[in-house]
Amino acid sequence: MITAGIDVGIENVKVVILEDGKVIGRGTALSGGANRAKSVEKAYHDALKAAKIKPADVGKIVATGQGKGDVAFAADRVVEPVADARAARFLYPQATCVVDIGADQVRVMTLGEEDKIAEVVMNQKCAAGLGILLKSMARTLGMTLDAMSHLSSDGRAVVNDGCAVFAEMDVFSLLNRNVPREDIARAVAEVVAVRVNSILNDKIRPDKNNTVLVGGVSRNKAVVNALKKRSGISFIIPEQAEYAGALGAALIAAG
Amino acid sequence: MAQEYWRWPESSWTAQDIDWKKCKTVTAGVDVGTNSSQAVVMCDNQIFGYANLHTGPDYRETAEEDLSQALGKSKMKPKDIHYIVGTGWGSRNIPFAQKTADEITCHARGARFMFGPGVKTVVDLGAQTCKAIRLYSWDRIRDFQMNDKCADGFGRNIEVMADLLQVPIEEMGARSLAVEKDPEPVSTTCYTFANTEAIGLFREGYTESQVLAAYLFAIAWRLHGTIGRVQPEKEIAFTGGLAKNPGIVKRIEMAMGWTALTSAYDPMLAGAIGAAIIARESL
Amino acid sequence: MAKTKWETRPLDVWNKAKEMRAKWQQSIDTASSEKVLLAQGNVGWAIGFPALRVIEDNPVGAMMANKSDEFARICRLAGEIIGWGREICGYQLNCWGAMYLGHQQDGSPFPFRDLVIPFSDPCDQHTKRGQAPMDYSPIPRFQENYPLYTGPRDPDREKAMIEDKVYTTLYILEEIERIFGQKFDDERFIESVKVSGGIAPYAQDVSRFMQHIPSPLSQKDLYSFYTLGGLTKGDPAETVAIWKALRDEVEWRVQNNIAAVGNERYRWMEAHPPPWHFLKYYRYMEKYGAVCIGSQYSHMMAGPFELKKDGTWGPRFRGGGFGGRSFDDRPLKTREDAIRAMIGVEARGHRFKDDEVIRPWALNDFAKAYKVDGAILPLWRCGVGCTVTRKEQGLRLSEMGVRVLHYEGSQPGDRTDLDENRLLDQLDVWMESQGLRKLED
Repeated sequence: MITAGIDVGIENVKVVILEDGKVIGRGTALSGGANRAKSVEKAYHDALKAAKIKPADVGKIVATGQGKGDVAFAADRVVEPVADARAARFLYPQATCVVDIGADQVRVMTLGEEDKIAEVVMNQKCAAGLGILLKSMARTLGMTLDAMSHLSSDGRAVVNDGCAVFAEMDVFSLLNRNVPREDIARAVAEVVAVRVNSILNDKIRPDKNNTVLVGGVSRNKAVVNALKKRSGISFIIPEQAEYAGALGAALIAAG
Repeated sequence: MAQEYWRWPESSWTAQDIDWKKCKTVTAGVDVGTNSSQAVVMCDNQIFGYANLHTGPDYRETAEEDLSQALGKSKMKPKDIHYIVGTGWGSRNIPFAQKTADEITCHARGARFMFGPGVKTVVDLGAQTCKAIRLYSWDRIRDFQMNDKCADGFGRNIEVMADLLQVPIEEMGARSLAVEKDPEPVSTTCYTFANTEAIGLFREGYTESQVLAAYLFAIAWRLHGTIGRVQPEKEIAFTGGLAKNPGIVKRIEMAMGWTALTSAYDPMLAGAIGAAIIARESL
Repeated sequence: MAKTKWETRPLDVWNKAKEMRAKWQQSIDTASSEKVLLAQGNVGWAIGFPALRVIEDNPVGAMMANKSDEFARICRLAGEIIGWGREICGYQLNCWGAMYLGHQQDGSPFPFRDLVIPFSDPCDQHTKRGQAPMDYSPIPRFQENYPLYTGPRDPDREKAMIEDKVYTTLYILEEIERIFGQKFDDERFIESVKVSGGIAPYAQDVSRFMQHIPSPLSQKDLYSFYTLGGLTKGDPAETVAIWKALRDEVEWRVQNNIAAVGNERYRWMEAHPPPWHFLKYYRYMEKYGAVCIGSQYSHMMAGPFELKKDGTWGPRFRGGGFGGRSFDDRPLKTREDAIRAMIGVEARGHRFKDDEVIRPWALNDFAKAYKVDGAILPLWRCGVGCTVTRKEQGLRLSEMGVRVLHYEGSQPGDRTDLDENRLLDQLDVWMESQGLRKLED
């Protein structure tokens, strides 16, 4: 059976088309705005095109993500930890913990027996120094997210790790003092690492060797390196990590 | 390239009909902010040229570019300017300024120029801050209040939200006013969670205009509190980038029951105009 | 409607509670016109004065948040403009904002206070409470000491604390007599202490009954009653009667397995006040078959509890220390006797709060006794009193195997920073990640 998983995130919609346990197509679109349903359709049709199939070929669709309610044509909806956990187990049966860093949410799930989830920890409102912060800082520093994510520096600049808005103010201070941009970029990556690390150690003890990292921010090398150093965890990062939620949803659709 | 909804249009203008060589004083003011920077060149008491640009990561470059664009195609060069005063967040990065002056003083002077002697309360709605300034009828500052805690809801926030909601920033205000009645204000103006809350509102059935209204209502409400603390006196005028957002200005006016003064000049120029005036007085 | 696992039915006694609350509110609104003094604060001795009523801004601010955020918001703005910080306790900002405006939501005049009396609480915001009315107009303000002590139990220290509180209370009573010319009626006071002592045993039973599966009451039901005799003081005999009526009805419900939530399959607890402007999340949780059995806060009328050897959560001392006799079993004869009886043996004000600060694992006992599956512990940003040790308590509960959800908002009386839809999403995540899907839409 062919199934589809649609993950409607804050920033991006991700779609995965699955056939007999293999991904046959992916699609993505910028979400946001009042026309999220339109973004969903675009991403979905791109995925169908990539899979070379028609809408009627898809047996079941499951939606996840914060905007899962915007997928009117989904047969079912699951919450993000359930989708992430499913994907992680599928890709790495030995996984015991999944970390999902997105635009404004970070979730850490520890996996229980069978397909149970033992614990879910989510960031609280403040200190969401995550994907949105990185995107915003890239703009302030006059570089693309991709470029920023590949920078490294030996600098020692520090920005506030308690609040994305305060972090930004600190960045302006550093620019005012003509601190090199690579150094500031490194400081920002460190912020995300600090925040995620505190969530990682809230109530749980993530496995140093069997923890999977997914979500859009996992593509950011600078952040991942900083996080690895800080947490001591050798994260397993799947290819196309930002599609993990959609993959999980597609797997759940398949049963 | 994806459309950049936040990118408000830059502007510059240089006078064609002023013979600057005949003027007694030629001065300039440069205001480098975290988000936008302006340069204003004045000949005697007239504005000769101005520029309003996005602040880039290199503040010095931005300051130079501002001045250069304000001078435009005229033959005036920076060395022809008798005195330059720098102000704003990045004032230490205006190496070609003879001195710097604080933003409050500059805004106050600039506002009197732009709005006339009747303005008693000037509210700068900037990218990171809201500064409410109360003036005596002579050019002295009577009181001053600034936002507490953080930059929630200010210009930078509006830019981020323009992107998140995919609404061109110049249209946000007008679209937000296309509602019969303002809905409940959003619970937080912090941009980190703006999109999450917006998703929830869209799910409840809010239209784009209603979501914008909910946000700008919350922002205007917060600004009203800061302004209230300075015990505002008529007439009131708004400067800064958000003064160009009717969705915010109208809502503050409604909350106060007042109508703000308007000016022919771009409200983002107030700081630089004031700096140029102070430059003239420094000669 | 689909048949539920257990029968449900509304409480018969609920209307009486509503009546009592309305009567109390009325008495506050008419105090001025009746030439009765209105005191900001909450004490048990007000009844001794012929013309003195007490009101604390806690229930006021909470009710304002619950009834109309639009008006509460305007009040908060008024407070900000006067100079109060935006993140001060919403109860205060709501209530005193109305004072600055001069009127209540329905247009009726604000009941201005004539004096400030103590309301002791480890909550930092409580200490600030009396300042606003005192600054507004020159009225007397009486304070008492409330030391928060986190060391081991020390009987000598507690004795000294009791003495201090007795002294302070006697002093305040004399001062009110002198300043306002009202004669304190010792007999009436002593009688009220004796009678009011009868409330706690009934309240304790009600609390204990909620340990039953299915719970006969939910948190929301408790809210209609939990201030009676505490934050809202009325006639002592009437108050005892309604608590008895509630107790009797709840006992009957337990005997007949009448549930608050017909599909109860998940029990959860809280700590401290909920977002009063968003109580519908209790109903939302009920869609999952999840019942909130309360918090130590909402069970406050039962007095200090402890985990008994038989695994039940019961009162530390039966009869709340009252019942007409002092703790060393002497009859209550004098004003001072009654004050001592009122203060009780542990002189620590709101005992449950003290316990939580001193023992972050205090909620574990509560959780065990009420057989909870999960706990929702808000992290309020203002009001240290609501949030102190909340995170630690969450960790302790987690270690015990209770699933914990934290959410952030500003604080219970102010809807700023509480994204309601996001909270509901978090509830979905919490429930579904535990394998529970909604039973109804």
